[in-house]
Amino acid sequence: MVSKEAETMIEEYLKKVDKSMTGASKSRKQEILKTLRSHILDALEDQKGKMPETKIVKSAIKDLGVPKTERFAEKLAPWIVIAIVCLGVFVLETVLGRGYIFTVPLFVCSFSALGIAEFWGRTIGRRFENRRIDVVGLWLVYVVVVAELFLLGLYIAFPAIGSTSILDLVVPGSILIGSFNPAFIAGLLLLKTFNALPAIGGFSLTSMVALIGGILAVLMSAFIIIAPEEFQSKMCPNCGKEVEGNAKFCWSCGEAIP
Amino acid sequence: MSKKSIPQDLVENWKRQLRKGILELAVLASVEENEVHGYALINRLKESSIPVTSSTIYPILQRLADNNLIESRWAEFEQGHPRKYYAITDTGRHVLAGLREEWRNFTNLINSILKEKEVK
Repeated sequence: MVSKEAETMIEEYLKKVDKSMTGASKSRKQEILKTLRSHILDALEDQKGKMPETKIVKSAIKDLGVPKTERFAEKLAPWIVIAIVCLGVFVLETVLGRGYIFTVPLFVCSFSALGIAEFWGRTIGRRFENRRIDVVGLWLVYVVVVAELFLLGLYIAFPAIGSTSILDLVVPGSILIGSFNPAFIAGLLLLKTFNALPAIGGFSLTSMVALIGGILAVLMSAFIIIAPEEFQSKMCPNCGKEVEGNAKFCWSCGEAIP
Repeated sequence: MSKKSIPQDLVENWKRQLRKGILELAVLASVEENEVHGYALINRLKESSIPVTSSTIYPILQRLADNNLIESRWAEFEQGHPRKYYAITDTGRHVLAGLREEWRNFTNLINSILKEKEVK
């Protein structure tokens, strides 16, 4: 008879494993969960009396490996890339002295597109357990960023094109994309509040936005330098899912990771 | 080179790689005689001084089963929980015989190289 505490620990562990196995079929999942449970119960039977049950379960779970369903640092990576790109555009526009025509739309487009990708991956993508939906979301981000950089290149090469015609396309487009994203709505409200205020200390609204982005990018870059291992991940050769840098096997399909 | 200057991480890495390479052979050989469940198999390997963790063994068992080298069955007991037993298949026996032969040849070869160096 297993104690209630030990049973709760086992159940919680199995739930975590179940949640992490997004690439496995239902029958495969059940088989793996049954095997894991059997292993933990074997450990309990074998080591009973030598130490408290909860300790035995904890040790068996540690030995089996605890899946990490969420890696905060990995989730940050696309945001960092976009923040750095935005900072680059901001610097370029500052040097050119033509106003922050692209910085703000770039911020709005890319961050809101990334927001959608995240939102998509966590809701619809997760519900259907379909990796491709995440990929679509990420591609959306890349397309928006590349399109913005292309427009910026056009603007630098041909200043005569002017900002208005491009902005006429980019700003409504970004608002359209962003309108699906709750984070964007919140950001828009914040911008509206800033807009109502006069320029602070000689900084315009756009330069403030860009400055905040720049600081964010610097902070994130520092984070990468301080904890690079947090950003290391591998792909499973079998199912293509991301696995931890030090993982021995894939939690999704069970394949050994070389 | 003095013993102190041997880079331990390189030696450890080499040992890890070596162990990794022979684990499938060790697992196959362990289920050759009798069917065995996962926990007992890990203990058996540990007793044979092969340090393994459950997170290493179960994927290997799964891979061997996928390749039809071993088969598994669930055994239900009146008292106690159900256990998954693994046993070698005919294909597995055939492959094991081949691996055994390869292992002997390989170790003989390495031993002869090492001996040559010792004599020199």
